[in-house]
Amino acid sequence: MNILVTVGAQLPFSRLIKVVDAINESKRFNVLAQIGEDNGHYEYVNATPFLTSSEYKEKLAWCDVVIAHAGMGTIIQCLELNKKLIVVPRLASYSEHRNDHQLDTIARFEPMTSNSSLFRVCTDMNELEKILVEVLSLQNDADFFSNKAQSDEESLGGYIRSLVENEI
Amino acid sequence: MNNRKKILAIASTGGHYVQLGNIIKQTGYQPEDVCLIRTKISKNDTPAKVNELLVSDISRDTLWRLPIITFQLAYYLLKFKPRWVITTGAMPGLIAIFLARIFFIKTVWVDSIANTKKLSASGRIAQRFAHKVLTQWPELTDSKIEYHGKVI
Repeated sequence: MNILVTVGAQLPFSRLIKVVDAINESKRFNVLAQIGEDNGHYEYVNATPFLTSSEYKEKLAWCDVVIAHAGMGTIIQCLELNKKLIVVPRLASYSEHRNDHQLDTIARFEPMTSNSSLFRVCTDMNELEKILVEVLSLQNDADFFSNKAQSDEESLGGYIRSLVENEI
Repeated sequence: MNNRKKILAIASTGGHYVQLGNIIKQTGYQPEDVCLIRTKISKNDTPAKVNELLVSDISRDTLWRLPIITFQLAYYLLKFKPRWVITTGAMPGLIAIFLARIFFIKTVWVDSIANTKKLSASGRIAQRFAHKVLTQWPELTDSKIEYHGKVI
């Protein structure tokens, strides 16, 4: 199994990498971890500070599952690829982000997940291994969300286009 | 990339830029209509698309780079003379909005979908300067903040 771990372009998230490293001591998956500016020493993951956007695309295609911070960029990209994704929110109390907006993000999305959806939310690090095993057992063409996002009448891009076309 | 662009779209690399890319895709514009700008995140980071340019990264922790990115953005705004500047954040987008106002270019701030409870800190500043401020959550609209759909 190939696993891509990514913490995004800005801040490290060592609490997550440590847990993945510990899980992989027994699992021995192929884990590539994009860890940011993190000085931690990890034994069982292949760690790199950053990936270029072409490397990142390539690794997204390569992996069976993504484990990531609860960043919208990662969520959107995995949604588009229908890629298995487990997100763990950064917490301001551990100085992992400036505020707890990742908790707000997952509060929106968690109701759309279940143990049969490709997208999962992990708020307790002790649960990560269990969730990983569950997600890996799913078919790759299962639904990303268990409940469809409410359908949207408006197109954001269409609105932007109308702004540009109407005001010269 | 030397003729006048319809849109100059800028965001910091990462989630902001992914959302920006989706919005631009939804507009249906061709690559030659749009100049995409994102921040350079490492030494070997290079543009991945034909209409993409990189500028120096900046955040609250790296404010000393302000003169560099200001110069880069001013140069691109003058070079491409876009009709509109669109940004999803964060600080580089804010700087682009300030500069665009100086050059009489229209500006729109689309707040990140990650901000579900209130507008981002940068978005709240952008509210005072941008021509349009959009949220991606209908609950956050008010007299100045509009909702016109979301990136997913």
